[in-house]
Amino acid sequence: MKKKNSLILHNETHLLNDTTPFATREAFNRLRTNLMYTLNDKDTGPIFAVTSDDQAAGKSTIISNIAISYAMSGKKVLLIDADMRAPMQYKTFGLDRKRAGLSELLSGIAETDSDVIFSHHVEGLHLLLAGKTPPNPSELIMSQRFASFLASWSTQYDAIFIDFPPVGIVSDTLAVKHLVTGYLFVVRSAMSDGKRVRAALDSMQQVDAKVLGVILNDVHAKEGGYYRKGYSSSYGYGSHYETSYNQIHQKASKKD
Amino acid sequence: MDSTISISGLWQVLKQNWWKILAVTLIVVMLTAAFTVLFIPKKYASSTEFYIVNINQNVEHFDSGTLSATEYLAPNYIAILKGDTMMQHLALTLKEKEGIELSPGQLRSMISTSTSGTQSTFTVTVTDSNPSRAYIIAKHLTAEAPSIITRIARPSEKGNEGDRFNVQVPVTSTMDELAVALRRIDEAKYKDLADQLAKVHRDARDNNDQLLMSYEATILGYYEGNVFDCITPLRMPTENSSPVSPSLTRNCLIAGALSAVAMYMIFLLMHVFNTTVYTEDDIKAITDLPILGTIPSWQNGTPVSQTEQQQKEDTVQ
Repeated sequence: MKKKNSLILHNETHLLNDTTPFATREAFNRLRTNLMYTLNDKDTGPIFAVTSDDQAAGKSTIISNIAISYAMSGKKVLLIDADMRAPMQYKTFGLDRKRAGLSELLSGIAETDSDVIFSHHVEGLHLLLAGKTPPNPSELIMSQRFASFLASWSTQYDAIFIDFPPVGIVSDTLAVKHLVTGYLFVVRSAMSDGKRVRAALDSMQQVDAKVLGVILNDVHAKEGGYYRKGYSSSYGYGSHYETSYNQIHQKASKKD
Repeated sequence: MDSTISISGLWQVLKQNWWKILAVTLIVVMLTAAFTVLFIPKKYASSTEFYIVNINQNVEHFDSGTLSATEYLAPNYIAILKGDTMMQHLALTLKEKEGIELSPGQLRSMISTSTSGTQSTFTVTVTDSNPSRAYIIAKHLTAEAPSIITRIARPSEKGNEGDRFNVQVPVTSTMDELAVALRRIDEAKYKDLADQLAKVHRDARDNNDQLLMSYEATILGYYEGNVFDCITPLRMPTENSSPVSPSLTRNCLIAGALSAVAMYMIFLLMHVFNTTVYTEDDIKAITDLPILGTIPSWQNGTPVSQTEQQQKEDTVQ
C-alpha cells in the first residue's frame, strides 16, 4: 500500500523527464528564466496563475512542467489545481481523481493544508490537487480562507503556480487578481483562435489583471513555428549539449 | 492570421495543400473525361475552300487597290453564303435530291466560315453529328455557292431572270478552262491558281463526282470588259470519320486548369482569413505582451489509457 503523501508515477503524460527532447527541456528552462526576469526584487514567493482563452490550450501541462522545471532548479515549489470544475493535474500526474484537495481544504472538510498537500518525487515540488468538485467553486476561490492560505504559502515556498480555469469561461480566474503576482496566458499553436485570444486578453486588461506574458504551446515545424525539426541537429551548439547531457545521464544511470 | 500575404506565403499555401489540389484536380479531370465521352455528342466536319479571283487584264501588276478589292469581296461573299437566299436554296436542294430535311436556320447553325489573311480564300465547314450528312451538305454547298453568290453580288443589269448564269459571259465554263484562260492572261501570275483549279477539275472527274461536274458550268461568274471576278472552289469536301468535337484532351486540360486554380484560390482565401494562431508573429499581431516562451510539440508523451489510469488509481488507494 502506498503512502498517502507520496506517490509513484506511472505512465506520466507530457511531463519533463529524462526522455524529454532536448529542445523541449530547454524551452521550459528558458521559460523559467524569463519568468524570473519578470519579477521584481520584492516579489518573494511569487504566485503565478496560468490561464487561457479556452480549454485544450495545454495550460495544465505547461504549468505543471514549469513547476517541475522550477523545482529541478533547487526551488521549493507548490503547484495548485484551482480548476475545481474540470481538474487536470490529477490526470497529468497520474493520480486518483478522488484524492482530497483544494475544495476539501477551502470548505473545511480538510482541517489543515498538510492533509492535502503532498510532495512529488521531484524534490522540491508539492502538489495540491483540485479535490472533489464542489457546488460553489467560485465562492471558495474568492473566500478569505483561500487568500489566507495563499499568503501563508507564499512565505513557505519559493514559487507558487496555480492552474486556473480558462478566463473566457468562468469568473474565478480574474476574481483573485489581487492575490497573484501575475498571469501567464497560454495559447496553443494551430488551435487557438486569434480573435478569441485577443478578446480574452482585452477582458483581462479591462479589469487591470496583470498579465506577465504569453506562452505559445505545441508549435509544430510545419506551421512555420519557432522550432524546426532537428532543432538540436541544425545548430551545433544545441547538438553538442544534448549529446553531453545524454551521456552524463547514461553514466549516472549505470552507476545506480 | 495576417490580412495580407507575401510571396513566400503564396508558396507556403501551395506547398501545404498541393496534394489536396492535385487530388481534386484529378477527380475533376476524370469526371470531365467521363462526361465528355458519355454525354457530349460527337460532331463531324466536312469543309471546302473557295477562291475569289479578281482579274483585270488591263493591269499588268496587282496593286494594293486590286488586292484590297479582292479581300473586300471575301467578307461579302461569306455574308451572302450564310444569307437567307443561299440557305433556303440549299435546304430545298437537300430535301429534293437527298431527302434531308433541314430548315435554313438549322443549316446556318451547321455552317461556319473563316478567311485566310490576304490570300482571298475562305473556308466553309459543315459540322453535324452524322459524318455522311455533313459531307453531303458540304458537297451541295460547294456546288451551289459560287453561282448564287455571284448572282447576288453582281446582279445582272440585262437579260432574263431565268438566264442569269448565262448573261454574264463566263470566261470558261469549267475550272479546267478557267485554268487555261488564266495561264493565257499571265502565266507567271496565275500559274499556281491555274494548276490548282485544273487539279480540282481532274479530281472531280476522276472521282466521277457527277454533282460537282454538273455545276461546273455555273461556277464562274462575272465578266465585263477586261475585268472579271469569280469565285471557285479550290478543294472538294471529303467525308471524315474522325469527329472534330468534343476534344477530350482540350476539355480535360481546361477542366484541370480551372480546378487547380479554383482550389488554390480557395486555400489561399482560407489562409488569408484564417485567424488561428500558429507562430509568435501571429501573437505579436494580437498583443504587445511579451512572449515568455515557445514550447515545441511534445514528442515523447504516451497517452495513458483508461484501463491503465484505473489501475493506477486502485494502486494508490
